[in-house]
Parts: sequence; C-alpha cells; structure tokens
Amino acid sequence: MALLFGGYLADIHDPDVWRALLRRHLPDLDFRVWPDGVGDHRDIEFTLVHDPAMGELKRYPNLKAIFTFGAGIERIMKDPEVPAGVPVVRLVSVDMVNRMTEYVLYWVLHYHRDFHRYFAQERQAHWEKYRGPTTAERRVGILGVGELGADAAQKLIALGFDVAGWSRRPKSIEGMESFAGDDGFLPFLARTEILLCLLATTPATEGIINARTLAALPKGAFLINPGRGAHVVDDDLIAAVDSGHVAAAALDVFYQEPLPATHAFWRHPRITVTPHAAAWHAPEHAAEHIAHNIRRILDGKPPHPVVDHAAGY
Amino acid sequence: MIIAFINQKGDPAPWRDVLTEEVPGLDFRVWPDEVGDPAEIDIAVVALPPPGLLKTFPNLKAILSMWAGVESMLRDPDLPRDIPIGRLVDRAMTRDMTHHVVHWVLHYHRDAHHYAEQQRAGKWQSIPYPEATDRRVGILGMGALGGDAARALANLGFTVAGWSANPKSIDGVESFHGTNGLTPFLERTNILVSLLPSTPTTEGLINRTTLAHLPAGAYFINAGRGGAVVDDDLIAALDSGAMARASLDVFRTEPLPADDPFWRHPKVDLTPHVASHTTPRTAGREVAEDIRRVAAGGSPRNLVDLDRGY
Repeated sequence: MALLFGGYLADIHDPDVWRALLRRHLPDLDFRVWPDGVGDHRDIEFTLVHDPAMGELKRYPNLKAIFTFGAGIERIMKDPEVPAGVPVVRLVSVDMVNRMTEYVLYWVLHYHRDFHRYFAQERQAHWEKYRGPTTAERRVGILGVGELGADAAQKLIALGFDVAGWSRRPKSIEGMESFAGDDGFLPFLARTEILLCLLATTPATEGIINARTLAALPKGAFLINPGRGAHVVDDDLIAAVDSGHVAAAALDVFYQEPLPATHAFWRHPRITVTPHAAAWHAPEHAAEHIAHNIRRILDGKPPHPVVDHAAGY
Repeated sequence: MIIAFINQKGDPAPWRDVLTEEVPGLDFRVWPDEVGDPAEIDIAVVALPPPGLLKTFPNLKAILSMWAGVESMLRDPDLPRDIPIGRLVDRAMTRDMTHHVVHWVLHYHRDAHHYAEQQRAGKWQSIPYPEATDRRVGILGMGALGGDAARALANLGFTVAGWSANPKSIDGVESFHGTNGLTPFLERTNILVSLLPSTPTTEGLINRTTLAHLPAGAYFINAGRGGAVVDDDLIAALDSGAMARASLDVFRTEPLPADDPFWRHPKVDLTPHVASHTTPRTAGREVAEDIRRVAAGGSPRNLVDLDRGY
C-alpha cells in the first residue's frame, strides 16, 4: 500500500509531518514523496497532491484514489489525462467546516452591526451610534451551497438572519430560501445585502462576481469572499466600492496568492485582506479523513466526498 | 388604562404607535405636558425618570422600564417601594447582545486585530490558532443575556462557563457561583465577558485582584456596565502585557470623554454603547404585554428585586 505525496508547496505541507500523521492511523503505509522518492510507478495506489502537473496522474496505472488539498481540484479537473474512474477525494473535515463558519459569522456580524464604522470612529475619538436593520430584516445571500455553504446557512439562520442560497440546482435547507440556476441569479442578488461567496471554481463560476453582478445588489451591500479569488473581477469590485454601491468587502482569497504587494486591495480603506486564512486543514484532522477513506477503499467501499467530474467540483 | 410615558431623551411617537396598537383603548399621556391629573395615572412607562417624580403619582399599579438596566431609577431615594417594577427583557435586544459578544469572541479567537495590522504593513502571513473547543470563554452575569450568549457560544464549539450570584443550569455550560466560585472561574477563562448589571455588589468587581487570576494573555469583553470595571486596573493589566486586549462598549461616563485614555489605547477596541439598544417596535410589544397583565390584575413579568438591585 503506497501513497505518493506531492507536497509542491513544502512550506505549507511538510512531508515529514504528513508521513508521521498518516502512519499514526495506517502504520503499514508506504509513504513516498514526489519526485525523488516515487520508485516503481506501479506501486502507487493513492496520491495526496497539491496542484499536480498536467498529465502527471495518468502515469500511475494502479491508482485507486486521488486525495487533494482544496486548491488542487481545479487543475485536476482541467487535466484531460486524469485516469477515468479514479475517484478524486476532497479534504473535508468538521474542523475545517467549523473554521470557515467562524470566519463567515465574524464578517456577517461585523458588517451587520457596523463595526467597520466604529473602528474608523475610534481612531477619531468620535462617539456616534448607528441603527441598521434588525437581524430578522438583514438579508444574507450565500453563493454556493455545498458543505461549507450549508453549515454557514444553518448557523446564520440560528442567529436570526434572513438567509438565501444560490446554487446550480435548488437546495433544501430549513429556513433558507433557495435560488437556482441562471434564472435565479438576478433575483437572488436583488434581495441580498450581504453577499457571501463559497463557490468552487469551475469555468462557469470564474469571474462570476463582476460589474454586472455587483450592480444587481442593492446599494450599500457587502461582499465576503472566502471561496476562490478567481470568482472576483478585482477592478470591477474596486470600482463598485469606490462608487459606494458596495459598502465594504472582506476578501480572503485572490487571483494571485500571496496577493502582490502593489495590488490596490492592500491599501483600500473599505477592503479587508486576510491571507487565505479563513479555513485550513489542520493536518491531524485531514490525515484522519484520508486514513478513513483509504480503509474504506481497501474494504471495497466508495470514498467520500468525491468530486463530481461532470460538475467540476 | 392610563399610562404616563416618561422619557426625556426618546421620541414618544413610535412608542405611542406600538402601544396604542397593541393595547386598544390605551390612554397614552406624555410627561410632562399631557399627564393631567397625576392621580389618574395607572402605569408609568419610564426611561431615566427624574428622581422624586414617580412618588407624585399616588395610584400607580406598576412601573415599567423601557430599558434593561434600572440602576439609575433605583438610586431615587423617593422611589415608591411597594409598587412592582418591571424590567425590559426583549428577545430582539437579547439577540443583539449575543451577536455583539459572539462578534468579539470571534474577533479575538481569529486574530482579526493582528490581521488588520498585517494589512496595514502589507504582510501576508497566516496566524495559527486553536480550535474553538480549546478557547475557554467565561461569562460574568448569567441572567437572560448571559444565558443566551453562553448557549450561542457553546453552539459554535467554544468551551463556555458562567459565573453568577446563584448557580445556573445550562446544557454544556459550566456553572460557577458566589464569592468562592469567582477565582476558579477566572483561572480557567481565556476570554472574559462581563454582562454584569450595575449594582453595589458588582461595582468595581473587575479590578487588579480579579484580573490577576486570569491566565496570561487573556481577553476581556465588557458589554454590561462600566461601573463593574476599575478602569486604571484594566489599563495597567493591558500595559503590563498580562492581558492581551479588551473590547469595551460601556463606560463610567457616557459618551466617553474625548480625553479618556481608553480612546487611544492601542489594546482597547471601543464601541459607543451599541451592544444592545431598545427598539420601540420590538420592545413596545414586550411593554404592551406587561400593560395587559397589569390591567388584568397581574404583575409585570420581569420584576426588579429592590434589594438585589436588578
């Protein structure tokens, strides 16, 4: 049982850490590190990869599953030579979902309760209160209702917000209004005061947050993007914030990461930048998830959750 | 029913709308101009009534506060002591308070202040942080507000304890109480939240001695009353590095004077008493319910205990 580890971003994914963690659950695991430690390609049954090179994965004839860190999925999905029938397993853990929901709740509450204005006031020793809509009146809209979007929706509903979700197909979550498909997109935006993007990146969603999308939001709306940087057309967002149509934005992900030092987002007074830190896979939880799925596969059961090749996520 | 509406700061119009809609036939008189014969007034609906005023209504059946905090009213030496006083408990206000507390707990839990500094410096660096279950939040004051905040935080995975005068039972929330419970409560608390009312026993409760029981690097969130804190002791604990940061929404003097050191303290996050506020639309329904109860011969629901002070 050999697993090939492709830790291209070694500063984030230290192979020694992963080897130790995975062996805690799978003591017999033959852990090999790409590229020098691959050995005989026929031995490799599993890969744990971050953004693998095109065509790389077809070189392993006995592959049973591909495990991928979040950012790797897009590349794998674009690779026409990824062996058909080999499941691509996403890293999802309760821990990761919780961390994402914390980030989302923080920013929704932050904008809902005008903390961005109070922070600016504090610097001027200015005492002034703002009274916005009540929680029940505040309309939050979630783009992308997968595991992350669904958990965020449920927690926001529990806090009393008016929550809607938009996805390709209608989703049923108690208390959430569901919009779907192209026809549902503009009505969803028109009712959304705080737009939260948790979409996966596919060719269909790249640049989905653009000048037209932002113009469809009511004036003074907020954007929170912890999904993927490729969803946002940066210049369109800056123009919308500068004009005041979008009041403020919290961005955790960017077209290019790290965000280049010269990018206008860094110094924009109404845009908050965090360094792709909304949620991360604590290696100990992710290793448990991977080990669990490897055991399932060895027992002849399907892994979970796997990427839907047709949908692209 | 004839009520006297006594609120020198607030606009009576939205209250008149909601109360007369909720209680048909209500005679709504705004003090001082519309009161007429004081002997006709059945109920005083008040926010900050001037001292000595309430005793001038000889036939009052109840006093209903439009605010959750009643400490200033209780300082009136002429306050009639045999008339039931109802305190406002409004679910919308409770929810607002919970959101304020959850915001600040998440702010400190997720290092939002560090990331803001990093953005100013153009620095891209993730900051590791523990899982929510490894953050121990402690709430001082476990009434309606404290209980709701505790449940919301526990629901997000935080390890939550509460301290109050008497033991409280809330699922998943450890309860500490009384003088003996205070030190162990503080010793286990990384993020201290005060929702304490202002009473003689809570005056200055958060001081040099109590703060010294917190573990190193603790955070403090005050959304209760400013009088519970000894300001200089808090500033000393922040300056020495014993405590990490404080979020303050309430102060001994409000608005906070422009020269107060809290304004410019680099480790203080300051908001202008906005954690929770009375909205006539929602609070009016609560007050109306108590008016109906009093009219039917009953009592307001959230009775103030004059000896306890809240």
